[in-house]
Amino acid sequence: MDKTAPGIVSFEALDALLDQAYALEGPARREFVEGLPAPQREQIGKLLELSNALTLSDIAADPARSVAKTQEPGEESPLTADAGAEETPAGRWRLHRELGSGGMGQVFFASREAHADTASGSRDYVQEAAIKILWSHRASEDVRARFLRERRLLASLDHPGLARFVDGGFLADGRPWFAMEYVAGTTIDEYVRDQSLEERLRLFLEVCAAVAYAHQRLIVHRDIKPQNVLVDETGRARLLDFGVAGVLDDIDDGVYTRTAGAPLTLQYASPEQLTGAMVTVASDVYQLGLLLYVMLTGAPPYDVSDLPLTEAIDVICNTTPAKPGVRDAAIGSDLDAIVMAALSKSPDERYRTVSALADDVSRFLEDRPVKAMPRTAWYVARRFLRRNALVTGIVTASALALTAATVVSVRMADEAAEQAARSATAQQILSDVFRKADPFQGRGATVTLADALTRALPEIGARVADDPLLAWEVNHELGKIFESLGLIEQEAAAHRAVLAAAAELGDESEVPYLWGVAGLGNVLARTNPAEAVKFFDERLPARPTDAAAVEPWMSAQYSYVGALNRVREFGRADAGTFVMAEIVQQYDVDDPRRRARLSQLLAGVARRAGDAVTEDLHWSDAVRHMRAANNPSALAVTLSNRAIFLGRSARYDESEAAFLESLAIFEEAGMDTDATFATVLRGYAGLLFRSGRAGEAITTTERALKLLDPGSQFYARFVAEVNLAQYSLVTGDTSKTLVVMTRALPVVRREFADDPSIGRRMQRLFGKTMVFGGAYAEAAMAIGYADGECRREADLLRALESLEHPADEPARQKVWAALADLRHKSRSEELTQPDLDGFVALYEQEAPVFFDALDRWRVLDALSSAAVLPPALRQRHAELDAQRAETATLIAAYPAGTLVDLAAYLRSTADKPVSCLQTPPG
Amino acid sequence: MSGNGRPGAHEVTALLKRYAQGQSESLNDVVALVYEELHQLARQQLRRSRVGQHVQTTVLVHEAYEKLVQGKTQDLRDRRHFFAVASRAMRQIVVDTYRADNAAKRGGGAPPVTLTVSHLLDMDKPEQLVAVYEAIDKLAGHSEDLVETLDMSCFGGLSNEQIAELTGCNVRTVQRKLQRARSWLMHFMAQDIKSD
Repeated sequence: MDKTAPGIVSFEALDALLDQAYALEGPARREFVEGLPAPQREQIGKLLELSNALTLSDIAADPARSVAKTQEPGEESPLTADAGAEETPAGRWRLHRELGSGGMGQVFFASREAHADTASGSRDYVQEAAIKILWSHRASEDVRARFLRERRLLASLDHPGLARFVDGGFLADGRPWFAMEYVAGTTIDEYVRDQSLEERLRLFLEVCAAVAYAHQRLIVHRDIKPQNVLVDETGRARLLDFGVAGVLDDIDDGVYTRTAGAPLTLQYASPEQLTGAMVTVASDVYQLGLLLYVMLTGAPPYDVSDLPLTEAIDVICNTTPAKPGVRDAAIGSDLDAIVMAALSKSPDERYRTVSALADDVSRFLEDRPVKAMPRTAWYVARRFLRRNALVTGIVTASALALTAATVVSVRMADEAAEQAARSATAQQILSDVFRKADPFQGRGATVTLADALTRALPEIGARVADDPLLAWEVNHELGKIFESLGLIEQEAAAHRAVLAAAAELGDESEVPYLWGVAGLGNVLARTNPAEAVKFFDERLPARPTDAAAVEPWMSAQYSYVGALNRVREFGRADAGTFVMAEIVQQYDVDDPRRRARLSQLLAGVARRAGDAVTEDLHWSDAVRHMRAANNPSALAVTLSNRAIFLGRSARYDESEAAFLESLAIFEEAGMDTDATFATVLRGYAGLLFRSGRAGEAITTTERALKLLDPGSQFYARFVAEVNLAQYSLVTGDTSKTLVVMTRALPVVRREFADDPSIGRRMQRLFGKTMVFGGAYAEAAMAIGYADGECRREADLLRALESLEHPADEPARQKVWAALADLRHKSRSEELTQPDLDGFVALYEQEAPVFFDALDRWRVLDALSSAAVLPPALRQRHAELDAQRAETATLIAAYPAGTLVDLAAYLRSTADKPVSCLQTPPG
Repeated sequence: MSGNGRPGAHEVTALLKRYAQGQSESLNDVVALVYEELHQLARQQLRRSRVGQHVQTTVLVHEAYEKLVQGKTQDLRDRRHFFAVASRAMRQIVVDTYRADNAAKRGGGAPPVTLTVSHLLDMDKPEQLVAVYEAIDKLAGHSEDLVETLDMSCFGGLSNEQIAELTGCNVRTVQRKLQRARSWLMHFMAQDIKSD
């Protein structure tokens, strides 16, 4: 068929016709070719077809490609897609339908069954695959060779991100075929629509890994696009395989087109593919850039589907697309830079390898400086600070547990705002010194900002030595920076330097002195509250002397009150809070942040006084002031705190509205990926749970979990997992609870038992997990928890110790109840008199808590069995006993999901006669 | 910049001028000069680059231009000739390198010099480059014009815009020329393989 070189028709004549043909597109070109006289038509047709070969090397391997290509489908092939009927290439595969056809063959959807028992014919398993079969048994040796080469190539690839080679063989007529794993899934752009930024990026990294793997084997994909990347049921991204993928897409892809070289999808073609230039690794980098663009923004950067080819090429080759951040402000300049570097028109300006691209995305995920950004020292420093802010946020988040207020992170947000407004002079000095220290030149990732600052400290000291005014400002700033870096010693040293400078300043020293006291006291309050209280007692004046001193005094007093709360000196804490309130009035402090803080403290006072009405007012004030403070993150946290209060007051609708506003603020500000956001999510989950929406609570907690890094945010994750376990228990998914508990118990003992701060937090958390005391006991027994009753009793006692804060009262009651129950049941130990006293006292405090009726019964039951039940309580015990039996009946009679409704119902009837319980919840 | 025995900018420009005036033997001279220079640059580049890193033909050709003619000629025709010549020389170097590498490999020699153009090929079948090269020669027998454009694009690494500017036609024409060249190359290669 190829004896016709330029001979029948001259080269020049054919070349001129070819030129005309290439000037036309699509149907016009076809029309033109069909209108030619026969010899020319045949020649030009072949020349155009030849140009569709993937590369020069493809044609070298497959010179007769045009023959196979121009053949009518079905003409030579006995394998038409005949649903379910066709006997199969390998005897076992059944072809179901044609998926598409391409240069060398047809692709079918196929399946095969294996029979466990051939006699009975019972099916053991069914395997599905995409089978590609060579077009014609009369295909030339070259086509055959090429087909076999492709088969060999695919068989050599083995990567979890690629469709796998399954099988291969020859038909009776000698035609080779092969089967590739049939990936059922969702296209990646579709799949990521509801995913967080981080999830999207992690998925993208999986695609990169698959492409990089292929590159290592010198295979360039050339057609990476969302339709070719499916996410399977396990959530794993799968790049559909090369030859097959291209073929599979033919059928449903309208914008499939052919230009200078390979068949390609115009929408996702790289500039060099369109201009017929070399298609290299860089082309895959470009297409990965496009893929990332689509995954981030939901749409490709250009829509060329309706443009004529020439215009489309012009758009793709010559116009710079809008940065992803323009479409979605949450994306940010780092990702913009990464995507735009991958999308450079010139291959040389892109990432040199897919690994380099993936590496930069990973760096972004780790909050490390990305390479695509101009690498100024300050850019690097900003990334560093952000990374650190998150790390410090973890400790904060882990302290928040289930219902504890999030005051700590409000303070952090405040600090951030203060830092933004810091003194220009001090900043200038720091930046000078910092630049001079130059920690980022050629030292790689091992140099940290902390190192740099520590190195620069002597120099800073020297520069401010003669000027105490400057010294206090600079050290004041340094203190904040070290705080955000979590370098407590350096932070304390900086605050001491502020105090020293203040001493030098003499008369005008009140403001720096108070800042020094506030700073150092704040360090102490975080590390040793008792010490902090002593320190403040000695150093902090009862009131500021003038208006200038109000701000630092308020800051110090805030830490002071915090420390007093921590050491449970609530009387003095409340008194301190009231002084703050007076100062605010006296000096007419209108800084909304200060007022908001004060309102939060006052809300705490009201909570301890059991005055829900006043507490409500203060939370409303706190939110109002924070709105005025124009500090979205602090507002979001305050809203979340108020939401927690509302939830506690069973005002679920209002609570939910506040949570939703808080979450929306995070999302709007693009902070919906950090640990604080995750904390609010967990709070919201708690509310959902309490209001009987355990399913939503679970998905919300899972969302929070995904935001938390398993390594660096271990604690917060742990908390979330324990919550998840609780929620799962209610939905009847006890297996999940068992898994989490199995994992959590040893971790708590191993990791936290000896750590005074984290350990206590975890113990507290653990104590709160005992809300499900009875269920927990069953769970622990069910998993064969080896240490037995005594061990669990030790857990309970430890939990009890850690539940020292008044706000933990409800949880402590639970633990006590569980303990009483345990001792009662096990009889392993006599109840001690302090226990009994505690139980009686406990019983007398009415606290509206989850499952409280059951708990109270447990306490009373224990007391009753110890025969120390005061007569006044005996009657109540009998009532509760009846109530418990009824509850148990109700619980057994209700589907698992309504357990929470039941609990709410029980709570609402707690003060009513027992008989009320006979009406089941609606 | 022009050192001992190395072609000076003046010399290259003069040769280009003579060639432009129709003295076709000057072409061989200038090709030889440029070939020598490109080869030197390629070796330097390889020494500087890490193992396994590609040497960009584009970089080489542009560096050669900087070295040999830059600033000495404002004549567009000179530039066009230079890039045409340099691209062709580059093609020659690529093929020669492959041949040398193959010989060296058989003798257990150094790892192959890898040039960007290799992406046109199967890495494990460098002999295909020879087939491509022979097809280009065949095409040159029919149309120097197409081969010049092809060389500039594939081996000189010039963008279509640059080629359009140098050869005085529009970008669309350059694209069509490249498409035609591709079609013909594949045609010749198909023919060759058939007749093997």
